[in-house]
Amino acid sequence: MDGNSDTTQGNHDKRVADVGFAGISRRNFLKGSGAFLGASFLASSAVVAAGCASEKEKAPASGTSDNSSSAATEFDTFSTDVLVVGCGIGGTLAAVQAYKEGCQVTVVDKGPFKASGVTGMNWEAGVYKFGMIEGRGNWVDGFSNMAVSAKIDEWIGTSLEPWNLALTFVRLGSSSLRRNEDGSLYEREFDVEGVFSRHAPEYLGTHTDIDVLDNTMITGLCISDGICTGAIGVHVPTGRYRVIRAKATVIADGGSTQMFGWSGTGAISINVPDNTGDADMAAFRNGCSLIGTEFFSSDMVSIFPPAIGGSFAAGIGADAYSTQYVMDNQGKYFLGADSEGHYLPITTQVAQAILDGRGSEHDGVYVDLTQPGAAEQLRWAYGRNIEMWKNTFGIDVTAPGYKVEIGIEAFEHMGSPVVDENAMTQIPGLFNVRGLGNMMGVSPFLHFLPPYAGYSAASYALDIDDDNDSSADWASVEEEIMRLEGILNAGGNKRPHEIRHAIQNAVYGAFHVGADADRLNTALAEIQRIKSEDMPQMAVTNKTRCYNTEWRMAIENVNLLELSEATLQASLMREESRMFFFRSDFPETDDENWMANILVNYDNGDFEYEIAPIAVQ
Amino acid sequence: MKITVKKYDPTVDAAPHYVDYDVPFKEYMTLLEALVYIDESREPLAFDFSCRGRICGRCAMMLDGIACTACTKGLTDGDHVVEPLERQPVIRDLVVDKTATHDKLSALSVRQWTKQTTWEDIQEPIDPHDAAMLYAVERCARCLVCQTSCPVVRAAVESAGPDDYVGPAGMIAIALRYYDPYDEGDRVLQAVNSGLWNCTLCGTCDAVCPALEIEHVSIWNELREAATARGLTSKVGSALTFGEKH
Repeated sequence: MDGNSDTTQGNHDKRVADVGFAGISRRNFLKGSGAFLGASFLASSAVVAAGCASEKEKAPASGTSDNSSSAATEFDTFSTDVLVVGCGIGGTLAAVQAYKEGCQVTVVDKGPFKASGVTGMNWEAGVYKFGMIEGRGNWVDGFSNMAVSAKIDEWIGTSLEPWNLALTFVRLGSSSLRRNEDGSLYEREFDVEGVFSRHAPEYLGTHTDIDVLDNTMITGLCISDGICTGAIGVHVPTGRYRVIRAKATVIADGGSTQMFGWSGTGAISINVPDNTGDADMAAFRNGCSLIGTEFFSSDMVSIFPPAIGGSFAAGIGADAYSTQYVMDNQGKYFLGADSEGHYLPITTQVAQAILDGRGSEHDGVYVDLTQPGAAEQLRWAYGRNIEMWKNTFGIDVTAPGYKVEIGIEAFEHMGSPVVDENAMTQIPGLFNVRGLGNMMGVSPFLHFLPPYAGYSAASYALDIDDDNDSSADWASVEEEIMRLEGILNAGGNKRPHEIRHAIQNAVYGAFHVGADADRLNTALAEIQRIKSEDMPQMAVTNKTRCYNTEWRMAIENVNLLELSEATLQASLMREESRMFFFRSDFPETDDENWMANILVNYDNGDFEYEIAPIAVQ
Repeated sequence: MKITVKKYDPTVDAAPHYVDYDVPFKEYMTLLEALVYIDESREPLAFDFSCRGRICGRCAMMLDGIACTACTKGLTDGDHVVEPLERQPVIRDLVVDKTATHDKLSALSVRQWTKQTTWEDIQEPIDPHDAAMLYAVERCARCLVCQTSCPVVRAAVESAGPDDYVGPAGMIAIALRYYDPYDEGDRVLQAVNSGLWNCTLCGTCDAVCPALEIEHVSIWNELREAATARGLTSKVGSALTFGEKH
């Protein structure tokens, strides 16, 4: 069968292997009469357990109706050596490495290729230049998963070049990096600026023949005899299911911060709406332990006007490089001079100021850009928005008396399936570019795990002999398709955005001025309420399959809700403060009791938490 | 405000059609905010966005006949018409598929080099003018607002003539590598062959581009100066024509 080569949908892949019908094995494929009536029967539940007959016993339906809920649930299948879920920095680096190792690689991108995720927005990033620092080992030592770091170190070898991320990005296509007025390179002690990240997926697209399936949201994993054999998702423009069979799968779907409040157009997060941790949570539901769920990374960015609240791209922030003009409601510049280190927890000081009653109207603080020289010291990405605010809003932030209201936003979240020293999760064949467990909100070391994960996945894939399809188990595919059909066809009185905002308000309430037991318990109670009262009523009002953003949001809500619950519970357990993690009721770091990770395990809908102490180095 | 939106769901609609929505105005409202309001408070509406700040380009669309990025387009209190970005294939409602255009832009700007860039190369100072130009040109989000607005591109499409001008987005993609110190390609020749001299210097691209740093007409003039210095004052190499004697 020639398969889907519908170029009007613009997808890059023209190599559809087969069209299958959920409920019928490929071997028993009966052209024209395949149907899966089970979907309508089970449509009322959002999450469907696989109580169906095995594929061999499933008889073809006697006919199909026009009702979309009982129409044949077709899916397109693809085959590859290494599947990379996500085409951000992690995904691009992992994919290119696997490709260099000699594998056929397929990348799945949730949004439009080259405009998707944080990578797909043309922001100029600050990037570490490790190799140029004396004793780069200090970054490795500060990292808690020594087994992984040691193997990565061994793999990269003694060459300094791979450690120089700035160099890597220039080779991927970024041009000159930020320069001083005389054309010399603008450098700080650890990093440089001016990497434009969209060159990375563009490099992948123009320099490799890696297959790209874009506008495709991965929602589930193919599991066969406990081994990951690929992934399942939805092609959003057509609503068609896609099954990608792979010898090795790499998760690179980015950290999710989409549960962190709501401004009117987005979460109070400079991260992007597509990052809802879909593949991470699919892995979780299949038995992977999540590590690091309590760790957000925080920064400050403008929260007014609400149209751009929390947006890095449009916002004016005051991160660790420009703290000088951060002001409380009494007009005091309370953070002092610039702090050189980008990831110091200035948000803790800001949260404390707000708790002390020195915050702004919306629980933030202010940046004062009316002083001479103040606007000039902003990083490029924020400074360029001064002109834009004038054009778009008629606001001049440098005019006397104006105060830019900034709030604490979450730009990264660590919760992800834990990996071993081969960057592999607890499911054989499933790798992850995150999941290190370094007890921070962010780690520069994360940049080196992706290519290593790509290398590991490639090694694993190359070890598998070709003839592995004969025992393909389609039960997990069928189960996942039924689950998603159920979400699409469910009846109820709660639209997905109502539930989304309820989740966002709960989590924001817990964290946006630091957490304490009261805030966390209040948020947890609300999450439990959403789970028991709202989710069973979640329904999309528009049931067509063409670019159905309601359906997409509903699918994401399942993941965000689970991740939020894990985040809140783990935060409640950790009675200390550490880096970005700030408990106002436990403001000190407690290495004696909390030099440990918290792992979250999924057991048939219940979450179990385990504390995993780490060796102090 | 009355916001009229061109809607189209190809699975159920015979053709695109316009629907009026009543949207309450508020101060500092953007077009994106109004669309979210419609989707949440009126009825489902398909539109795409990501960065909320004109650097991903995904929310590009037509407001009152003019292309813009919805996320940074301030709305005035009054009636407005919203339509998908012109001349891009429509997937649904305000969502279009830019794949073909984006792939062309990527192909134009592949770096040409004979020697792998090293960290020493990067630490070398570069021409301050090139650095200043790159500061601007790297900001191009490939939103295609310029491409949609360019009268030369529009005329070429409407007359179904040969694709003589890659359009402002294409020329910016070439300019990126023209200023890129690590690129060795002949970008002046490429610009000329891509229709540099077909541009009328009307400045529409500059006027509509959400990346305020990019001074399009200045860039076009710099490229023309460089082309003139090499005697490349018109398009070189003829396009394939049939039935013409040379």
